[in-house]
Amino acid sequence: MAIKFPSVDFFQELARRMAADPAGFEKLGFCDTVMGVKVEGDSSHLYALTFDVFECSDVRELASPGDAELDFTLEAPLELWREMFESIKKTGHPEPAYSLNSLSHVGDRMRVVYDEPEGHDAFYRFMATIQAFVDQSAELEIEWA
Amino acid sequence: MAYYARDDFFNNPEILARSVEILKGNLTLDWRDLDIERVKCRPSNARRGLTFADTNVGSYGWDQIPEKIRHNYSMAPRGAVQPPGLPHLGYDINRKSEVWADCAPALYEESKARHWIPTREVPWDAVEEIAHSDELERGLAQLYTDLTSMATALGDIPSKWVWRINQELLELKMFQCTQMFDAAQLADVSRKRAIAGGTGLGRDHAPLGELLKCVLDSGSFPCASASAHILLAGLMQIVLRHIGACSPNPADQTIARFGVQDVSRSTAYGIGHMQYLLKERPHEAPSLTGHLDEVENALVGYLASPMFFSAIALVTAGQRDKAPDAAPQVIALYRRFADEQRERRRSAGIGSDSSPLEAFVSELES
Repeated sequence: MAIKFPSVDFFQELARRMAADPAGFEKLGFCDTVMGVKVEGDSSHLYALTFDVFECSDVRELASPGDAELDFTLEAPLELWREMFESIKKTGHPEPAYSLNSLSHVGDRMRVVYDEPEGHDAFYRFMATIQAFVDQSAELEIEWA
Repeated sequence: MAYYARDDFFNNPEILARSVEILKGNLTLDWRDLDIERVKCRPSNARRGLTFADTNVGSYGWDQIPEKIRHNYSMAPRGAVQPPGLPHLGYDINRKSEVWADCAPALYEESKARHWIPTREVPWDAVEEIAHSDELERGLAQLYTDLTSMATALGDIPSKWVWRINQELLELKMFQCTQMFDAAQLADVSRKRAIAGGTGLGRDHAPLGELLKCVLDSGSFPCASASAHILLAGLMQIVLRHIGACSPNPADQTIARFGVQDVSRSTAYGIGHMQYLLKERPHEAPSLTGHLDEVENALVGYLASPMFFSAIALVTAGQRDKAPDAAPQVIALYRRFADEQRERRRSAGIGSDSSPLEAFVSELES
């Protein structure tokens, strides 16, 4: 069954899969951060994902960034998110140009927005876990908004 | 040998007589009579396990460490009974704010939990199947050579200071041990990657040496911390991110992803350390700012060095004939780095209106 992107259901499904793979995520270590995911389009959506130890314990859609204490937010147009997830779908991992690191690097295709540099550095401290989290989408059938 | 124990134990007949009595079964058990705090600690999260935060209770916790430590110069673990006659270990860092960051205990736990093993986890076979040009590989090898030296220096900083820090600050000292291991591992994997790529290690160069000497020769731990954890670790972070973004090789992708996480714990500590220090001793901000400006001056020498600038341009372009066209992208990379450094310095409380890095990048842009 297809899952719509962007949606709370989409990220909750990734969270469910993360919980079902303790060995994979325990190997990557503790991940303690609250990150935002902003999908820009005709109607933009902002989600807060709470990572706690080895799980994504909460997924919420926010009306505004101030509704949660976000360490950092990854912001990109829907089209870029789609390209990234379609790249992941091919092999289970993104092509190098579509890794979170590459997308968020100097070209600003994906923006990393933060209030404090500690939040920005949290993205890099936990990037391996966050990359593995989104890589789980390879097994999903995605219905694009 | 600079210190001789206060007794010649081997030639002391009382010692031998006491040992003989114990061997006969006449144990000395008065050490069990302790007037000491008893607490119960359990993991606040079973999956995380029992952490330092879970044992931050009563006299065992770090919350009760005084700003000036006057009561313990021995190797006694914090909270243990200290009988008379314990030797003075010669610590000369006995002020909590000189080294402490509230995030240090959690960073220690994080470091252990996120430990990775490059020997096995880097897909080394991918290096055999490099799809990029020899020229790009030469550029990558140069950056990995530089990273090897930087990582070694990043490990030398905590190892230079840790033994001088009072044992009461044990969580911080344990975190420094993980920094040393992380740095050793990053030096190890950078060196192996350069060699395994087939072009061999690159050149050392004076501008890098000048930068690392400025960091290593910092005259106090706060100065060393600001220059190593905020500036050097920040530089390493963005170089690793750039390698990960430019090289399509899975080995480089893996090294970048995990290397970045390791150095980012040091930047987190560096900012947390400065914040804690300057809350207690705000008058130290000007000297720390001046010191970091001076280290930034050496950093400018490195960023402007023909070898580093050319290597970054080559890696950015992917091939030599396109490297000159990559100059705008290299300047954009420097701009990003300067912006991130400015933000870290501001958050740490040591922002500067005369930052050499900012002036250099602005000059390049103009």
